[in-house]
Amino acid sequence: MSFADDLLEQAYHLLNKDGNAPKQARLRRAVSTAYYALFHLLIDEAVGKWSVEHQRNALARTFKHGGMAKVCDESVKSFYIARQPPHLGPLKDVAQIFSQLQEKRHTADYDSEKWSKANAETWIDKADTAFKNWRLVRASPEAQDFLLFLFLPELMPKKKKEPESESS
Amino acid sequence: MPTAIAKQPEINAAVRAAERLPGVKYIRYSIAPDSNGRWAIFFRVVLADEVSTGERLRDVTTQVIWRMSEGLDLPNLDLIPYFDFRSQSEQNALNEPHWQQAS
Repeated sequence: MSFADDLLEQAYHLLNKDGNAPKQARLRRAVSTAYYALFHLLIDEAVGKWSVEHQRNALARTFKHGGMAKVCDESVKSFYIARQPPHLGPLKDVAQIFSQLQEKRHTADYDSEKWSKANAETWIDKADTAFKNWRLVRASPEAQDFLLFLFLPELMPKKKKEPESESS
Repeated sequence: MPTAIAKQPEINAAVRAAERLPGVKYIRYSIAPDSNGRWAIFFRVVLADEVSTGERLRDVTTQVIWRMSEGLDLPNLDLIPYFDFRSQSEQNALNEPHWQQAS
């Protein structure tokens, strides 16, 4: 089992540890762990392509959370601009879930907002969905480009917005 | 704030459409910068207790995100949408005003 899979399993373990009376600390750690599970899944995929094995850790540390979220948000927009091509749906979900989970991780780690079990369960389940979807599409050229853009966001082509339709 | 004010009718229409989904009690939202400093819209979705665990929770949250992402015209919205969910009983217990149903 990979480190990313271990983290996802740990997120579920934390979620379910207290039954129906979950402690806030446990829910927050669970959500944060789910984010890092997906973060490591994508980074490990990207750096795994680097043939010099001892350099992979150094390379992995160059990924920036904020830049990755921005690439994900642009990928989601591109999907809608392209009129939702079905074969890109699973990859769009990975991008959308990554962006959402990063914000949840920030809330869980830093904000005073109370977490509910339903919300924590939702976002851990979404991380699980992202894992499954990624494994469906990981070999596709679009997924490989997505990894490249996560590593080097400045390479992502700028998409034009759709022209807004005039209202009558 | 970007184009959000002009988009208010579309946002409200997307909210109303999602509120018609089975298991959705009501949706509140607010607009503010996200943790990366980008303008975002934060949807707070209150669900019926009977859909708030397991497979039914998975289904209804997927439908809400999908329905709203479609309805919001994301390429032109200039806001990142974020979604949070809780059951009606959880909201009753936590009792946070910004999660309460608008009167």
